[in-house]
Amino acid sequence: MDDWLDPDVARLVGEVLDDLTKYNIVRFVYEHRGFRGDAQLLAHSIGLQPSRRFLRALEELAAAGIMLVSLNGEASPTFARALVCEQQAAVDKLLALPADSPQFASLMRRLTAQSLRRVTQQLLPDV
Amino acid sequence: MSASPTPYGRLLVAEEQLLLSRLNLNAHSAARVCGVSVRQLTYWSDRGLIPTAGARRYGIATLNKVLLIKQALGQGYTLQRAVRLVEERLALAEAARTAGEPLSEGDLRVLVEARLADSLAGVRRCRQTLLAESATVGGRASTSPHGEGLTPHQAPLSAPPRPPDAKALALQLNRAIDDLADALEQLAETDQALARITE
Repeated sequence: MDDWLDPDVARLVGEVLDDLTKYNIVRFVYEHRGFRGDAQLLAHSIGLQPSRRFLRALEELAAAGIMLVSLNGEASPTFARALVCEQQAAVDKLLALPADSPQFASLMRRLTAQSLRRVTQQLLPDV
Repeated sequence: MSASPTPYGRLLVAEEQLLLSRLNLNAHSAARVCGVSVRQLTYWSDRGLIPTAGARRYGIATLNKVLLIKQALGQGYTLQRAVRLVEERLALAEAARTAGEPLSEGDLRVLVEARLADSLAGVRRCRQTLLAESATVGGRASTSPHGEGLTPHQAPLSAPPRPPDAKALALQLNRAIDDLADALEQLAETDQALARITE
C-alpha cells in the first residue's frame, strides 16, 4: 500500500501537525534549533507571510507543546522549539521522510487536504 | 471684530500645498517619514507596488500609499492583499474626488462587480497553481520519466532527474494554499459588499 504512513506520524498529522503551515514551522525550527523570534521573524525566515493564519498555527503548536512561547515583556511573544516534547519521536520520523517516497507524497496530500479544509472552515464556518 | 486671515497666512497655506505637491524624497528620507525600512521601500518600488518619481524618488502620493500599505500589513494582510486593498481604496477616493460627490450606487456596483470578477480569477489561478504543485509531489516519476517536456528520444543521457526537495515542495504548497485563502477571503468580502449594495 503506497500511502501507508507510520502510525505515530499518522497520529501526529491527524491531531497536532494538521496543516502545511505547522509542518513548515516545525521543519524550520528543527533545522534551526537555536532559532528564537517573534511570529513575523519566523514567517519571513521560513519564506511565508506573517498572516493571521500563520500566527494561529504557531499558537496551536505552542498549545500542543511543540513550540515554546515567551512574553518577557516584549511587544510580541517570541517562539522557539520546545526542547522536550512528547511527540519528539513522531516529529523525527516525519521529518526524515524522503521527498521522493510514496509516504512523503501521501503526507503532502493529507496536509494539503487538511489545510484546505481549515481555510474553508475559517471562511465558511457553516459549510 | 473677527480676525481675517492675513495675506501671509493664505500665502503660507498655498505654499504648503505647493511644497507637498513638489515633495520628492530619496529612499532614506521617505522610509524615515513612513516608518518603514529602506529595504522594504525599495523592494516595493522595485516590484512596482508603489510608484516612484524618477530613480528611487518618492512623492507625496507614494508616501500616502506606503503609509496605507503599512497600516494594512499591521492588520495582518499579506503584502499582495494589502497593496490591492489600498489601491482599491485610493481608486474609490479618487473617483469620489473627481466626481465632487460620493459614488452613485451604479458606479459602486460596477466597481464591486469588477473586484468580484478579479477575486474569482484569483481563486481560479490559485486552484491551478495548487493542482500543478500537487501533481509535482509524488507524481514526477509517473508523469515524466524522461524529464519535463521530453519524449523518450529526447531524454538527456546524463543528469538524471533530481529528487524533489521536501522543504521546497512543502513551501510551494503552503504558499499556494495561502494565496488561495487570500483570494477566497477577498471573494467573501466582495460578495458581502455586493450584498450590501443589493439590499
